[in-house]
Amino acid sequence: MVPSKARGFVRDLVAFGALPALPEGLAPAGVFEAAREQGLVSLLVAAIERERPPWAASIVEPLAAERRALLVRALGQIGLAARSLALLEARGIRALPLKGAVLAETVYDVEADRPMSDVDLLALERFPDGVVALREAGFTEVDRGDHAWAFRDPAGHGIVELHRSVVSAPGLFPLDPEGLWTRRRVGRGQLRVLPSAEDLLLQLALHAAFQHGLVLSLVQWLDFRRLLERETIDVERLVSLATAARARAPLAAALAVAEATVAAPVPAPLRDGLPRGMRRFLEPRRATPLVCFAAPAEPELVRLRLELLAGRRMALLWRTLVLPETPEGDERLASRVRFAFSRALRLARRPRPPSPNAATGVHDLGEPPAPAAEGVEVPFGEELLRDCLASFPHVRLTVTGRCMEPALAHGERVHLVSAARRRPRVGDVVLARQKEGLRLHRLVWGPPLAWPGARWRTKADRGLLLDPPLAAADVLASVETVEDRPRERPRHAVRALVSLVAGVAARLRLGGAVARAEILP
Amino acid sequence: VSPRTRRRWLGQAFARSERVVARKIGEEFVLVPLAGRGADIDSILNLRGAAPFIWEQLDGTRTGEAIVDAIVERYEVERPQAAADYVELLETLHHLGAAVPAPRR
Repeated sequence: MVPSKARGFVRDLVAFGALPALPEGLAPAGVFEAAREQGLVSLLVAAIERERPPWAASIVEPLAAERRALLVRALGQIGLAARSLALLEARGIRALPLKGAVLAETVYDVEADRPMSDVDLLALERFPDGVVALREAGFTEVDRGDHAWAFRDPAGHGIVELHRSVVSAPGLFPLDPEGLWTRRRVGRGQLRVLPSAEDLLLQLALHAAFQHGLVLSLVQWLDFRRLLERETIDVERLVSLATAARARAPLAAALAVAEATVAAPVPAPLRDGLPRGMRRFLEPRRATPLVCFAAPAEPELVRLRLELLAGRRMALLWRTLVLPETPEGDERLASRVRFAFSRALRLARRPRPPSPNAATGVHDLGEPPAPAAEGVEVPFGEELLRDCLASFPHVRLTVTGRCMEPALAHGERVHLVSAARRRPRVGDVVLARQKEGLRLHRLVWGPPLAWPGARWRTKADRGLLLDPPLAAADVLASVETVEDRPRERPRHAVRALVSLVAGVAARLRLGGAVARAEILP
Repeated sequence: VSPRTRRRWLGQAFARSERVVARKIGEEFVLVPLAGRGADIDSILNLRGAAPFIWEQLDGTRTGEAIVDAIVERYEVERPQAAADYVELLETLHHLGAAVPAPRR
């Protein structure tokens, strides 16, 4: 749980460009967590390196390590976008990158400054052929929305979303594909083509307002400020594009919130175009932007969409329910309407979707997959590790700390195999998510001894007490080998059981009631 | 590296590989392989001291000797030390595939 003080701290950093004073009672670790949650790790570490506040000494090194991981991840993701674009181009399909990948290469100092959960491409034509092109190249479909389909890279590094439309309800905000292509720019990084700055700003606004109900992570709000500050925006052209796309209201709404949240410098002509209801909605909320517009706030999506589409509500209903095709690919109107009825029933029964949050890696699709576990935060560092574990037979990791000696020494390199590939067993040294972060500790209670659904227990070999109980999903991987000692097996079932008994005995010495609660996982 | 390899490298030009991206992030200068040992987070190289300067000099036209001259001039170190630093870094970069011998002109 990130303290609200910590969110306020990182928000002030973004809005004012300098580190504020550390509020009383706020631990540096809280600032770190807030920066992770809001996608601002790289920006925070840059500010700390610049200003060197004494309170930050304990988090500089982990922040820098995370920034390096973010850089690797971002470069890999942008590379994935570039490869996917090349695949489409080879089939004669014109496509442009959207959002994060473009921003990371254009308006941020370095790619690590702009974390993203996936990369997005907009097919300007022949969307079904684009899907076929990706499938034939080995991409596997992982999710499908009305405006985009998500695919996993065959190399396993990430997710690419192929869009037929920037936001849900395709056609509601019509963007002219020919114009988008004509206005494209040449990229200087891995992406060879980029949308124009005006198109990019309009797309961001639509995404923020219509797709996410004006609730984004702070780094996504920072996108608006960076674009306005670092690109030359032709305001007249932007207004004309927004008018043609019937998107004046989303543009004005998103910019108004960006101004309130991160002090984006909004040119006066772009403030116009808000319907009265939308103005009423925004006015009180702009006074508390962090509470109302920064993830994990709950977006008032339905009301917002209705206000944004004042005067076009029938169109909103039609475009939301009647998709461009059925899931079976049937484009006939009768089939689409029939499917729309069943979809309307499903939507009416569906619980509220989780709030969008870039830092948790939730996709942008209209119907996002359920999070792995409610209330669980998945920081970027862990997400990167998960990607690697899912994609490779083993992942190499350097051990830090001495709590597992002599089984694992500080500085040794181990090969981890994911829990999905090899189910952890009692005695394994496992990589588990604890409250303090990821830990390499021994599994002392779990399969095959624990009954299905029971909580598992881990303990450091040199630790006195058991770690808190954890769910099976919190164990990400187990150690397969120690690099310099390939013949030694890191699994020791007997040592695990002795350790379990010692941990329980230690707890009994400290207090019987607690120990009894812990014995029963 | 052997004395022979060392002599060869000093007389030869090396170029930065296109498969590696260099980025200055804050006070760090890191090299990231874009392909290859994808899951090996340890393959990221953090350059310090004169290493970023040497990396910038690997343009495929300047020989090792010329780069050593540039190091001596910039950092005011003895030539043998500069040559040792250059060869040591080149060994790492070469092993990682980050620097490749430039075709002879």
